[in-house]
Amino acid sequence: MLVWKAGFGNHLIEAQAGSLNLARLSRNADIEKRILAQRPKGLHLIVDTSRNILILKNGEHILRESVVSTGSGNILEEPGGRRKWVFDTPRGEFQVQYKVRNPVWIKPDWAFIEEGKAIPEDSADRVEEGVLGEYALGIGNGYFIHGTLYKRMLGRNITHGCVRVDDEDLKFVYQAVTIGTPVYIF
Amino acid sequence: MSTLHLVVLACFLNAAAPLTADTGNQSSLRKTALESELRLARKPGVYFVIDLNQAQVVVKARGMSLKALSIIRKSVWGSVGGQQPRRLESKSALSEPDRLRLKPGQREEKAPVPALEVSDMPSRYLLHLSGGLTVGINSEPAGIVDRLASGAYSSFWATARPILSLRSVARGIPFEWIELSLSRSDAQALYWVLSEGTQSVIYAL
Repeated sequence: MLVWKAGFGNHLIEAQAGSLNLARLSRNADIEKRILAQRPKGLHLIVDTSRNILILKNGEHILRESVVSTGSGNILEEPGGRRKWVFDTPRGEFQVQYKVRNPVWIKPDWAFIEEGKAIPEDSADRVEEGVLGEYALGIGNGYFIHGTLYKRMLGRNITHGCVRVDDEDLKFVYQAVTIGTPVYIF
Repeated sequence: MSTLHLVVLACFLNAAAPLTADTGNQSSLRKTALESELRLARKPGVYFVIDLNQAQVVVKARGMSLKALSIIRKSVWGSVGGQQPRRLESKSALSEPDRLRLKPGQREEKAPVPALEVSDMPSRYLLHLSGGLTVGINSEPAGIVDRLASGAYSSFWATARPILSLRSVARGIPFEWIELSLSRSDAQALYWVLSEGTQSVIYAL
């Protein structure tokens, strides 16, 4: 009787331990599901700056993949050392904030400093047309995903921070995305 | 404690097999790590996961895998994993790439821009995470110079690790170190992608 009880007790302890492990596994599986539930379910853009690739996805499906150019990481200092610019493409999560057809480049101060030219007082002298392609997607803080004249440089890290895309690919992306489409850059 | 005792202790610490989590505790550690990742996934931003079980380093955002890198070899010292997210505080390498400093007026309009590429990144470096955890990233050596450098690093590490362990013991701080070996291109890509401030989660063995 005592031997039988001891044997039964051992099985009971094992069963209890097994139940506890199952409960833990089930709880962990639940947390994993909640992590996966955070993934974007609709359209989103991914920019891989290490491979200079832009991917448009809808959930898990890749709709378009494009070779792009991203930030050079170079540093420009204003003579006199008052201001400094680092030409990185920003990393993180952004959103498409505006869509522009036939964008016009309003040259910022660094563009003149880089070329050794005086910064114009008249804002009309900052306007440069035709260098950003036919489409542009603004992601905030002055950064854009836009077209390019320098197609042979696609695939290299040569921009001042923006993401340059081939015209055909950008047209496809521009027509697909909406304001608020998430953009993940790493 | 005599010098001989210290040497024996150092040899013991050096030879001590990398620790693995107590099997009975694995589920709880994983739960903590998952909860940490869930907190990161709920916020905007890129983070990375070192999954020692799956032998992968994964760059993620919103729980979505952006880039997965295979770990070829791994070693762990200390009770890493199953903790709060760790922030990447700094990276260090023997030869760190220098950003190009542009001189105003020197670049001709529409001329090609010289710039660093991923292939300029180091393939052997340290990631210093918050809480005192260091992750050493290595890659398979390619070429004679690389093999010599790799050998020198291994020799240095074999000497330094017991000293660092003793120092941690003396300070009452847990010694935590992970050594990961990736392919050369993956190691360089990881250096490129990770920047100071990036959060991470460690899934222990």
